[in-house]
Amino acid sequence: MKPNSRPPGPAVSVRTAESGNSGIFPFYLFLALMVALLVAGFTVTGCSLSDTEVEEIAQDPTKPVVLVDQTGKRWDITTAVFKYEMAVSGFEFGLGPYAIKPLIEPPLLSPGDINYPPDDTPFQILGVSINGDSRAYGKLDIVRHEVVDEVVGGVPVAVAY
Amino acid sequence: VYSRKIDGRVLTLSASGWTYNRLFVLFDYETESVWYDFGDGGLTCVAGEFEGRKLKERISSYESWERWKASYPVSKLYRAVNTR
Repeated sequence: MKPNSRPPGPAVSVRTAESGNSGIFPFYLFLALMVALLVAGFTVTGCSLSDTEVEEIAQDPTKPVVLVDQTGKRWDITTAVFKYEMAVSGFEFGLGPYAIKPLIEPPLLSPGDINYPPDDTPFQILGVSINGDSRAYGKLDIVRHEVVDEVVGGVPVAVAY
Repeated sequence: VYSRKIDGRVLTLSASGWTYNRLFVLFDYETESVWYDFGDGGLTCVAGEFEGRKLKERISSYESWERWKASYPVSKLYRAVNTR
């Protein structure tokens, strides 16, 4: 299922991304949303929504599990939850897909270039060498991109920090 | 470092904005499939068009520039412009 597609059924487990960094907050938000959904869509007859009930909803493989990130984008993670046993509560931040942009085949320095650092310059790199093509990526230079989409030695690779 | 070629298609991988258990969850621009590294030798597609498929990990090293250069003297280098 495409992450953006709306789930077919009415009973949907939805979790919305938190804006802060707390690991506990999103679960409360999740609970609050579930209550809101139940009140809006179903008749709640005097029963309180306990943790157990939420778990039951999240463990029913017939119902899609959808995360909503901070940009409103919907991510259908049904297979992640039911086939790969990834816990909904393990997903955090949800900054949106364009908050952290990958580098795509960035220009590189070669030996002899004016800014090519001497061998004893102290910094950490992530290095990859394929088919005689060797490349290093400064750790601090790629960390804010998380991924560099590259072609190394003719092989398309993703350098991920 | 992961391969990003599958079924003859080259994917553009990117951070999804999500983390799972404090590790980045990736997705690809082409199909918006969701990819995660369970520590078993590659990225597993856990949701989306390639669900159940894997992008294999390639050998890479995380080390000092000095040590890397001793092994690969003509290595190219990526550095952001404003860091020296």
